[in-house]
Amino acid sequence: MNKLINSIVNAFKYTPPNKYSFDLSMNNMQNSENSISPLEDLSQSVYPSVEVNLEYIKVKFNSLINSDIKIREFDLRARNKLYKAFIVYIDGMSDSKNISRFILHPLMLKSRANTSDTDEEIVSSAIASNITVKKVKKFNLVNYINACLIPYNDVTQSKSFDKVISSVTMGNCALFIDTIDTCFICDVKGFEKRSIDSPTNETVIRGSQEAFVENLRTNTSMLRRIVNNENLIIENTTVGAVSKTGCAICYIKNITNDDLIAEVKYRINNLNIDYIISSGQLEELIKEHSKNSLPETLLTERPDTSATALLEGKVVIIVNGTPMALIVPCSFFDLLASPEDRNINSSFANFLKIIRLIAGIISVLLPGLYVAITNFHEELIPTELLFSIISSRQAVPFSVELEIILMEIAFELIHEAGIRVPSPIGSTMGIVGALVLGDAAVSASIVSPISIIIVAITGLASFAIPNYSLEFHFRILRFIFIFLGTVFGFLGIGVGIFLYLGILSNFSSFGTSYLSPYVPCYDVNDNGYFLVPMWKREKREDALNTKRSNKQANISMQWKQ
Amino acid sequence: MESNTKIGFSEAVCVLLIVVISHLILTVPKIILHNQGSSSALNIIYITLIALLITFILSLLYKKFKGKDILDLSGYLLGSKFQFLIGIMYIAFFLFTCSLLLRNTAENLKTMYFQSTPIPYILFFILLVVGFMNRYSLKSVIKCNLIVVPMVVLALLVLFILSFNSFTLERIFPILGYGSGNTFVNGIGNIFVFGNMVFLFFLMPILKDYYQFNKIAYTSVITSGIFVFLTIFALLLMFPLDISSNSNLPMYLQTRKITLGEFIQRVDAFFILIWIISLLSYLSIVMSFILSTFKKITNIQNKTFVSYSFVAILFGISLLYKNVIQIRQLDANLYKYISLFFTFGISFLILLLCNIKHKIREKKKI
Amino acid sequence: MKRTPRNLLIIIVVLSLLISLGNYVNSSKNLDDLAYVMAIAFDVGTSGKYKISLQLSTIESSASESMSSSSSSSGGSSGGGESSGGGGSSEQQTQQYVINTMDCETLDMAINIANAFTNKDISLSHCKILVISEKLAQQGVQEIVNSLINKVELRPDCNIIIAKTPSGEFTEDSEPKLEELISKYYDVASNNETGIGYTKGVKLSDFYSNMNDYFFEPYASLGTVSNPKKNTNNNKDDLSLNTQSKSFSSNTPEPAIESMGLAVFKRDKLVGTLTGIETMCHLLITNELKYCDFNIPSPINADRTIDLYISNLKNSKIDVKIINGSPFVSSKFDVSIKVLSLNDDTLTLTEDVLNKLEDATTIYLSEQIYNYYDKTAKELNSDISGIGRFAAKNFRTIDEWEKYNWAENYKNCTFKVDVKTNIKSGHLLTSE
Repeated sequence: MNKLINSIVNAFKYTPPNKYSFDLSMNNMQNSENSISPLEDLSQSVYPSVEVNLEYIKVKFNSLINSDIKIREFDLRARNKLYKAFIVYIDGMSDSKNISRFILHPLMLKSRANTSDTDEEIVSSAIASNITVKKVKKFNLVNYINACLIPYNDVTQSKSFDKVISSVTMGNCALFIDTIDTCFICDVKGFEKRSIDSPTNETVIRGSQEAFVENLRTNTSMLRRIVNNENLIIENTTVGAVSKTGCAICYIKNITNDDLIAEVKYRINNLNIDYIISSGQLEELIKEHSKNSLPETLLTERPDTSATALLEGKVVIIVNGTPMALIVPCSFFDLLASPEDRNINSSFANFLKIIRLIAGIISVLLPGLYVAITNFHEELIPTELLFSIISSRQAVPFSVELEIILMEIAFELIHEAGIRVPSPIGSTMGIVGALVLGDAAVSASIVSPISIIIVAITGLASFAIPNYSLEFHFRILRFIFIFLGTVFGFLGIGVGIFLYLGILSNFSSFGTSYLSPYVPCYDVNDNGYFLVPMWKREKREDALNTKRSNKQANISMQWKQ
Repeated sequence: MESNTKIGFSEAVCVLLIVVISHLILTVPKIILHNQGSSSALNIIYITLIALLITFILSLLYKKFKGKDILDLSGYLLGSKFQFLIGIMYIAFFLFTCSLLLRNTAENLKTMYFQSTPIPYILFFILLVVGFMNRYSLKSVIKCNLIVVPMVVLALLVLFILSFNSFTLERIFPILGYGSGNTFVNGIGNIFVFGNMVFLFFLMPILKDYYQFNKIAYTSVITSGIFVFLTIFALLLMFPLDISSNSNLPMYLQTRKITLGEFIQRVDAFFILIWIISLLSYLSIVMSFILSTFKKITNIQNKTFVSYSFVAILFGISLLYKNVIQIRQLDANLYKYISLFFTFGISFLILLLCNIKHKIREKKKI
Repeated sequence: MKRTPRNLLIIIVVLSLLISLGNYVNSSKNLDDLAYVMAIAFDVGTSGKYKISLQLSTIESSASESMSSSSSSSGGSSGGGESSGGGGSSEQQTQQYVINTMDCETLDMAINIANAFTNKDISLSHCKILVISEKLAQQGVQEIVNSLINKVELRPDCNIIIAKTPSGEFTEDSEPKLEELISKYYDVASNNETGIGYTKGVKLSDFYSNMNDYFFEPYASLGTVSNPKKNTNNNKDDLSLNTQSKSFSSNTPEPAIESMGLAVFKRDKLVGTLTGIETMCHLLITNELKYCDFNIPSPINADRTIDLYISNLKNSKIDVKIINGSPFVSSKFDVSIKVLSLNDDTLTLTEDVLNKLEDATTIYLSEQIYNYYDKTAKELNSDISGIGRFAAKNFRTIDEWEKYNWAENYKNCTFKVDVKTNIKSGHLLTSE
């Protein structure tokens, strides 16, 4: 009994909400830490003894079971002495040729470099009573090997096993030498990767035809090529205790707001998870309003879009293994923009933006409005159209709202099936499904033709939304508006619109209002939804609070003067 | 008020506008046209000028109290008990106004579209939304209002433009209506249409820049005056006085007259959509102010729970009215005087007394 | 986790409330369950106060199909119930519509009876015309108009027609000839006054507005049926419909609706009618005449007529002064005329001929406008043109205006008409 009472009381007990608050423009950075304490154990530093290191590596990598972990033991020749050594690498991820040519060959085989007895380095000398006393520097094997024996461009040293292990798993080669407690890590990555291709989801006519690939370094190199500025910082971090997935946080140091950068790093570095595979998973983990289906970040597969975002003062996050970059912060209007907008004349772009805005409204509201009008406000329909609707519905057994819901579900099924079906027959399947099902359903008087038209127009409008996440979000919202229109007609629709506007107003993305620059009313600075001509885009967005707000001079076309 | 809620110029003006527009759509035109007759338009210009004068006085009186709202002023005047009393009075006033508007709207909606739906059901549905919106901060509600107001303003302007064809300009005659005394002396009472000015006394602490207060006050009075004038002018010219002064929703009648060719007819349903959105925005804002006031006078922590309680209270009060006739009588008679009392009576009195007290204190210091 | 069961509980409670009460309280009307009224006709009742006919549109599955024709059934049910009870009702069914006629006290009662007959809910939201018989209009239409205007679903822009025939016959005989749908026929017929000039479509909202206005008196379109099926009234000789004593009735063997002239009301009672040319004068005065054709006797050859095309160049200027308590109305008109006809008189349009035509047109129009004023002021004492709104500026307050009682003083008006005619050249292809 007490338990029951307790559970009821606890269910209604007030608990202060654990609200996470980050506001960019008020410089109210509550979380300034952006690094976590090191997890490595001190005892996990590299041992001087090569046998111990070997055992440790064998245990860590389960080399008896793991077929692609390769360990090559050999004798290293340095200053005409032999030292025991071994390299560890992963077969398939490292370039064997580079390992042989630049690591094993110079270290194993006799050559001038590893047989010469170098002169002792004399620090100082004194002559007293015909006796010369020389103070010599002790010979440093690590420096000698690093400087003279490994003719490879990318060699780092590490004393900690954690770094060594994560490097090896990324495709590098680790070299352990007896008597040295330092490990040499050579970047000999040589795994197979996809070459740069044109974007599949964000196709444009006039813009660049490059898209991101799965490899992180290739992606960051594409960004570097476009931005071409030394202030572009690409910070590497890993996410996931097990997968150690590489992540790059990219920003331009002298443009982007420091608080934003710190907040992004703080969120990414404070994820206590085992693994992430895709940027979509990371997107969900760094989202502030996690229960809402509205996207808080912009996903893009285009390097030019990412570069534009960087130059505007935003932060780009690239995850290794996913050809999609995350751009933060993003606003609702960014989600309605297409990559083509900035490549064409601003008047054409604005025309397309109007079309997209109408498409967005149709995609969300049309079925709900149709249901509301036919159930509550049939006086709005012109008389002839009304009679045409009624006569076509004579034999249909379902009510209007049920018809619409059935057709919407059917449409979603066709949509989903079209993705699963192999591509040669995928598009045909879609057309056949739509035409045959629709036509057959009308002939069988299961649905009326007007419902097919409504659902088809809604579907077309939803495909006009450039952002996949937003389009999905609208698809869910549509059903809510159908329900509201059924229950209360225009009152329900009005209530739904108001609630949605309220939710949008409350929403924020990394400290910036979701409906900026219109709400709250910043100085739009020609950064609104509609594009101004290129020569007028003088300032960066106010909401981003960048370090460099002007991006063009007052008169940018100096040649005209 | 919450310390992290700061609003700018446009947000503040939109808050004040939505209050005027919500009442304008419903009952205000009927009251003015009934009292002033054909001199309504003249009367509106007259009271707008008076409202501007009052705004000037307000700005002078408020100079020394930047950043303080009416509760702070009443606390400064007579201590925390008086502050509590004033807070409760204003909360009661807001609840009364909201309940009247809400019930009136629900009755009208029932007449138009929901004949078989009981009133409590409609009220419950509307208040569900208001309760949900109050989980968000005042700033979010005000930001939402910033989107709603331009939509509503545009709709009203389109309505005005589309009504041009039906205007009979000669309806402004006889020019003095029921007499110059009635227009200019009794007509001063119509300044209750600027009842949105009561929110000026609550806005001060949440403004980003206190020095914009005067600009906000003048802009809101002028824009409110323009809207009231356009609405009254259109109704006066479109309908004979008997109709416009006796119908409960003259603006709805205005929308029913609009036709654009043969395809676009009966656009009053879209007007209902805009009206509902503006009403919801108004209710959410007033409820947010009620909650902020209550929080200030009682120092409670759990605002969310209290918001549900206030919504329930509003629901209860809205159901108290017996019938439509009672609501309309209260609207036409009681609401006007209560609004005048709170907006131009007690608020100004407190402000004036605070100024006097401040002067006395300064003199004593010297 | 604590918040989730609580939130879930709240959502379940709210949803179940909405759904459980949904059926009980839902005011939604399924499209298929409604019968749409196209026209409502009011007449003096035999056993009840009114005889109300509702013309309901039948919904065919396609435009080319047609229902079985002419099955008529008559029901003798009481409908209407109680002491004030309705009377008999009858139903006729033809291709596109069904007419239910019933005797009852009010419109709502009629709708209730019709609901029973049709087994569907009657919807007035697409009603196009309201027909009131002349007889009933003479008794007063305030009750009808008030009940109609207060029906939210009824379109306030549906046309109101006063029928010289019994109104039931009017709806029975209104068969579309050039359209397929009766709703389209009513739409086109009612809104097609542009370019005709001898009639005007009057909306219910305007009629109601004028009924309650102290500047205007109400008026409505006047209609009749030529060759009605039942032929209860012989309308062919009813010259009040005709302009210039010539018959405009069609000589088709089938019944046809004609609309010609206006019905003039004083408050809510019909006091008279206007002929076609008088209607044209009314439209000129109220600035609603865009253009129309009319003919005048030729100044050159008295046996002939000349067809002219008139369009309102500028708005008419009307000024009212109160002199010794009586109103003095001066009106100025500036019209543009084009010659349309081609006969001996107009074959050579010299300046002399044009001047003669202008003078003749001016005289003719002035005469007609004077006749119109005389009729409305002296004979009917009904200010349907709204001259009162120009008189109001002579008064400072509403009390003074009401004391003056314009409605009764209108008959004391003295009129001065000044017509300026501007004849452009003939624009005839073959004239010299």
